[in-house]
Amino acid sequence: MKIFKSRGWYKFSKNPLSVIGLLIVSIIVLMAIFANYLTPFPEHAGPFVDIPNKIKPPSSTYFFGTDKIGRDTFSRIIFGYRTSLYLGVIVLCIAVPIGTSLGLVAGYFGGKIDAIIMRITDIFLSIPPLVLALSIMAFLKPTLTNAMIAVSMMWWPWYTRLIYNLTRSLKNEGFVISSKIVGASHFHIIFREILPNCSASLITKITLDMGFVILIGSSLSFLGLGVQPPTPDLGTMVSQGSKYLPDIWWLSVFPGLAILVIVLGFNLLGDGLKDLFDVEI
Amino acid sequence: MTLLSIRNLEVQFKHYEGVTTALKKISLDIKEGEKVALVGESGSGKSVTARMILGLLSNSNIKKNGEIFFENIDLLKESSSQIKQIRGNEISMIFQDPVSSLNPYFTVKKQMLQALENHTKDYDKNTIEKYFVDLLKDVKIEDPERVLNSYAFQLSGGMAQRVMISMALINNPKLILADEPTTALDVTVQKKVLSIMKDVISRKKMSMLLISHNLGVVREFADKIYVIYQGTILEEGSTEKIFNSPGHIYTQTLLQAIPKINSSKLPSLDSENLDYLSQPKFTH
Amino acid sequence: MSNTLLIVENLTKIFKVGMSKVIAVDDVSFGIDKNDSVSIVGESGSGKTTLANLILGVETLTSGSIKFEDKELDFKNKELRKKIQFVQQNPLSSLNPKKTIFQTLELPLKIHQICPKKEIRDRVIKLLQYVDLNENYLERHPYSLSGGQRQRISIARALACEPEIIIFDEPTSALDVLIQLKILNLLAEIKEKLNLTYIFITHDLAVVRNISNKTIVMNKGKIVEMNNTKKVFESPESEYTKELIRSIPTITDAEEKSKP
Repeated sequence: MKIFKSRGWYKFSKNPLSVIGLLIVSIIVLMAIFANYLTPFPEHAGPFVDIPNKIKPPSSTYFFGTDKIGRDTFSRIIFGYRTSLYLGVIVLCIAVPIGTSLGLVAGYFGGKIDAIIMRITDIFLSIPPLVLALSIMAFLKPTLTNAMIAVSMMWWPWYTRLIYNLTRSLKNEGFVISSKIVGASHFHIIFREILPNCSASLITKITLDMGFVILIGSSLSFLGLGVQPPTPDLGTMVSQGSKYLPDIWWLSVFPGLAILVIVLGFNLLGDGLKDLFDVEI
Repeated sequence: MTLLSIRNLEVQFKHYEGVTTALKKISLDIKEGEKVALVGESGSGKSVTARMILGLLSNSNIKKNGEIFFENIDLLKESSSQIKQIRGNEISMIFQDPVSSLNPYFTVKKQMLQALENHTKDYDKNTIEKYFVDLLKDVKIEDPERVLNSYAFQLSGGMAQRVMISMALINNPKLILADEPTTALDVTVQKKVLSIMKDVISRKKMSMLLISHNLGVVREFADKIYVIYQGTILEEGSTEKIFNSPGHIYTQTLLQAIPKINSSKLPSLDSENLDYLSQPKFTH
Repeated sequence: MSNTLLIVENLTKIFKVGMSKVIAVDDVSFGIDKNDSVSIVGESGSGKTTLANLILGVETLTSGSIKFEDKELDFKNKELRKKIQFVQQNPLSSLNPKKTIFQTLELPLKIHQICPKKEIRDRVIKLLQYVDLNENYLERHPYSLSGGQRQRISIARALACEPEIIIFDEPTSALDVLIQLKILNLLAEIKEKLNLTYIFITHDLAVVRNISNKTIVMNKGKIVEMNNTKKVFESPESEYTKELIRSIPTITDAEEKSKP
């Protein structure tokens, strides 16, 4: 409970929207982790058919109604969150280390290394993200893993750019020069002096990015290029459900709202962190 | 005639750890044509005082008490639109770092026009450039036309500060606040800028409140001095009295501690680490 | 056997700025003896900061030489690196905000293997004692310290490598008058105790007068005056030095009278 007494919380909680963002994200994450225990019908997330209960509108049993083979939409959305969060975490676990390392090296050494790394980064950045992901997916089989690879490929350059700019300005800070004079190695300066001072920007950007990665991932599966059925996925649910609009509206509207809520949650939380740490992303 | 009168001004900031009292009931007077210095070290509250006069501190975490009278108007009770009228017009301000106080996107001329237009649309477009040139000449700028068309980064520190001074003079204010106006300047440039400031202010019969931590600068410039420490004014008097016979132990210690150019040893203090606030205010 | 620790000969540094060149340090030569306290003074653009950066290896020289104990300064040589250390102007930015004081101070000890691993903590506490601080400061972060305390930590860090020469860049300009006096007295004490040589880069002439035995005046990259401090102030030779001294705002009449 000490964290709630800290200076950070004092500042963060001044903006109610930030706290709402934190709540949304926390609730969704908890629900996704404990989906097996928290959802009314966990078995509906797998191969399950219950034709007698198909296409039922929202009720007290099936909060968000059922789909055309009788699966509970609400439970599937919670499991869909699991897929989205999994995608987000894996993508960022790939993109962030790659992008950050490249940015650190380019910013610190300058010269030819800088030129090569940053020009490659510029090339990747100039391709519209979704186009890049789609192109990659055109060569690969549509699976969750391949979707993650595709999204990572378009995501790392943003971190390179961010960390590159931070490194360039931190390079001239007094404590970095002092470390050089004291005799520290390049490795020490990059990873022990400069990188820790990028943490605020990194945490903020990662939080904001979670929302966008999830959105891109959902877009890919909406196009049929991501996760394949029967794994529950929000984008796929929106896509399949959209065929039945406007009569069987609950099949696509609720998953769509679910995407909105999680992206909104991460955005609000990320903006709150941005104000708290006072950084430019 | 008293131009500015601060009476029992108390300012508190609310923040994470509680409340800090930045100013503890201070009082200060500036007469017409007088050059007053508010001298103190970091954390003394001197900059807060200047910003309170001009309403430059945002309101949400500040508690204030007392009065700041400018020609019989209490600035603390005025609305922000009325303060805007006075700010830049009757009272103007010069800041510490001239190059960053000037907008890098606009030429000097454009910024001087903006300073003018904030208060009056009623000027003759044909003669205004000559007015600006005259103002720049007042601060001893030798090629005013070139400077008018320059950008902030094209000017040296001393030049930029002179431009700031002339911008402060545009609307013929009665009072100028200067917060560490020469701290960022080289020592030879500082000497020139100080003498220009002194000259221009005397000629135009303006008053000035100089905020500084540099006692040497204050000695050359001010008529009257207030010494402030941790939000309290500890000594008040004419420049001559303060330097020749300082009354408060804090002032005495400060004057002793400053290295002197005619000595090859560091100064030694008669006494150290005293509770300066336990001695009451000394008024000459 | 000469007493001269550092010899600078015909040192020049030229920066390329866009299409033009800036000669920051122009054919500068001087020597510094052991236990000297030398001040290099000048206004902005004089080259004094670049000169310090050259001696510290933060900049590479264009021509000329810098010799320490008769050996050409080679910054890849770790042994040589230890001998010349640095204390910066801005106490806040000279300490890594993410590191504790202990982590900042142990770094030079680890890099140069000054002492075995198990002795590091004791060594760090000893360094703190040199600057009148105690072990309560080990786990603190720079943001919780005052300007004077941070400057003391910077000084302690400079002492960690057991240097011969310490270069100070405006060490007390950012400090209040009373703290400045304490720090300057502390520096004098440490110099005496540890047999050090000091180089001060500063624009504060009154401080120069009080603490250095030799003064070098720089203007636009060149040395315009170099002598015992007493002589430079009492009978300056160059017009620039005279103007510089005359511009100092003084607080006593006696000082005014002593100006050239």
